[in-house]
Amino acid sequence: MTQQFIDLHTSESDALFRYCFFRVSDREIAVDMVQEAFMKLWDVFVKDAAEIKNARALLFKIASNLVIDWYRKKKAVSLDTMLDNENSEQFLRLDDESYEMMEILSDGKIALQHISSLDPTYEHVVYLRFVEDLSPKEIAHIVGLSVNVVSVRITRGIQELRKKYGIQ
Amino acid sequence: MEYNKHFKKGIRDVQNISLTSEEKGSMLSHLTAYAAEHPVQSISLWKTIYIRLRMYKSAYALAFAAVLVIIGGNISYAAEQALPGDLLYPVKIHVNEAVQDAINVTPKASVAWEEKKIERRLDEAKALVQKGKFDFQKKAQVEKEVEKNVRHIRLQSGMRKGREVEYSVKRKLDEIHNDRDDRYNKKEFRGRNNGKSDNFYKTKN
Repeated sequence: MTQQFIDLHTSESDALFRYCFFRVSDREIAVDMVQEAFMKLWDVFVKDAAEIKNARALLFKIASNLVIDWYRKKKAVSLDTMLDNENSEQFLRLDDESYEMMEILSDGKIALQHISSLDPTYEHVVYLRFVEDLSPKEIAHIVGLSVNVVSVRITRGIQELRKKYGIQ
Repeated sequence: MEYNKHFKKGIRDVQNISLTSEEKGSMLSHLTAYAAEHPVQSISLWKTIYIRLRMYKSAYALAFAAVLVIIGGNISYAAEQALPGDLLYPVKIHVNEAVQDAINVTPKASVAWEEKKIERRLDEAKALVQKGKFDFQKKAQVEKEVEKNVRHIRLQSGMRKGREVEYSVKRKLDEIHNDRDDRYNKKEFRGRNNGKSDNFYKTKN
């Protein structure tokens, strides 16, 4: 395994774990998803390294697809609604048990609750921008939208946060 | 304001959520095993070049274009000094001068350029005489090129102008020719030919 790949695992595995955990609310499943995402990235790396323009964005994209696949297996019926109308489902799926399991303190809990209270259109991009510190270009690659649309959604998400909670 | 501070602290708290070191270690060992089962195939030199070209295609295209322009520019510049019989002489005639032909679109500019080309041919002939390389073939070559220029001038500016140029060229060519004969008679450049007799009239006859 190349050093580059190990470095990527060291730097990105935590962020990827958070991303998966907040969406599936299950630590073990999230850990498995992170491992599978890295395996899939390795497959791409072996096949054609030149395809990987931004490994970080590609990892999140793979993880996002794994989450969708997981939901597809878990509840086949509700997924159709989720895919048909992206606004019908929340991005963050955290209950009190999840907060306890992760030992998320009150401030962190409130921050996540605020983000999850946003319109689902903005929730995903605001999370990736502020919690995972991804650039609009990387987010655009992950969610499959143009950079302009992503930038607009981030701005409107911030405006909504400001309006609701006075957060700058 | 206080609220804002709490939100930022909350984001930092969330960012601290991570895998345990055991989870990380176990995952990395699984990944290492997986990578060993699926090794990176050694790729051929051509594939490497292909991948690099695909990754940086615009940069390579620009560099290649720049190299072409530089090489082309240098060849074109060097060709300007070429004389009949030189390797680069066809570049001077068919590339450099063809470019000028295309630039001079108005009849006036075109005639001026044809006159300039005649001067260039005569200068070349003089230079060849100086070097002792002006033989019958070169003379015929110069006359053929000049004839083309005169014909062009005649078409653009009429018979009278054409005839004037033709006479003047003929006179200058004769002068060059005489100069060449004088030099030969003075044996100025015989020594340069290592005592061999000049082949000017030999070729002619």
